[in-house]
Amino acid sequence: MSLVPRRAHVVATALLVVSGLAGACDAAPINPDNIGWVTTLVDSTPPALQEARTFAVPDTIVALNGGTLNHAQDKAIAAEVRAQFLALGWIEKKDTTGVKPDVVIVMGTNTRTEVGISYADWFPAYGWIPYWGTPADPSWVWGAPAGAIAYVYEVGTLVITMVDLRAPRQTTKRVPVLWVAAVNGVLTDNPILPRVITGIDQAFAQSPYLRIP
Amino acid sequence: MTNRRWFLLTQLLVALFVASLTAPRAQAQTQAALSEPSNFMSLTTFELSLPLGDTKKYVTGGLGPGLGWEGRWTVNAHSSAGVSLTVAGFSRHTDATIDFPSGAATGDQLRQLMPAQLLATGYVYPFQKNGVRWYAGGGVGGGHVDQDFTLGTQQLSRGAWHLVVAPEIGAEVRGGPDRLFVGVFSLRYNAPIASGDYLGGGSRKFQYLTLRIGIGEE
Repeated sequence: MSLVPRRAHVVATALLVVSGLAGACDAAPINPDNIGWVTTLVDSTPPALQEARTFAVPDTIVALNGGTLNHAQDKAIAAEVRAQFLALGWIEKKDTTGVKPDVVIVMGTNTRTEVGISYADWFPAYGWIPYWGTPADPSWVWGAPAGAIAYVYEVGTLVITMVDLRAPRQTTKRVPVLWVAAVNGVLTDNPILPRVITGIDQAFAQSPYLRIP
Repeated sequence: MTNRRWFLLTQLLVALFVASLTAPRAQAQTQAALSEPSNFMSLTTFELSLPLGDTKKYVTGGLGPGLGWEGRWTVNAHSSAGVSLTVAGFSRHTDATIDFPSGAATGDQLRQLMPAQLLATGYVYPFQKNGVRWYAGGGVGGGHVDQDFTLGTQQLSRGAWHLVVAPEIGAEVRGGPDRLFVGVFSLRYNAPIASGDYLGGGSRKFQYLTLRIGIGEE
């Protein structure tokens, strides 16, 4: 028997085994179930967050980066965020003219992929920061919690940001951010409400430091 | 990226395997014509690795697959020396919360390790019984470990080089025409020296115990 066909057979077997091994190596398939991650970042530098007690949540989710968003679910999403803060002992302060709340919770969604803390091109979306009171312009940038890790914020990420209204930094033109929650893969033109709510609940569950003692 | 790297490395091993089937065979045929035994053995090894120590965090199913190529040159009747190239893969899926100093992340996570090693090997063959040639020895060399962490669509990667010591025991069985084909079964303990700055902080030594099944020819 010739050795050449045997050799070819061995090589073919090896190639099949290699293909099998390569296939067996675990992959991360991309589908709506496994891109739904939730990240939270916090500036735990005392005493800003520890001393905050009152909050406000505007009912509008803005579409960042000049995109568009169906706002049919905005109120339901804002209501869930509001309920979570109330459950943690915070006091809601809706009054925009009297004593302002300590923090305002602003929400936006990415309409393009961003890396870092996801509030690029925010000014065309907000124009101003609710409850902020101080004039702002596009030269202002959003701060990031100290030690924050840069993430890739995919299109459709809901970003919930806690802005400290007690510390406007006029000279640095930096919006002071105390806490950021990003819920990925939940917002399209039509928000996937059950997944948004689940993601919001997870964001608060993994942020125990938000509880008022 | 990890799967691509894995595929490229396995392609390299296949190329080495194919080349080894051609070159030694020509050499063996020439030597056979001169009625002299071959002093070179080429092996392709299929491997299953049991994670130990730091590697345990990277396996869901208990074992990691691997592939290797090894060349062994006969030094004398009771010893050989050679070179061994191996790659292994470990991966683990979880869906949990990771806490960082400045926050936390929850979601589908994939942790992957891919150690690749190039070792100089040496074996002694103390005895042969019932056609089985037993051996002990091992390898010393270098290895590179790729570490990947994927959260959703985001991937973080680290890697480092390690000095590797890998003691091994095993057996060779010969068969086929002129007893040119060799089957090898062995256990290798892969013990890298700690180094690197891996995700999670600091140096690591990713150890594992490998069952190697090799086929080849002399």
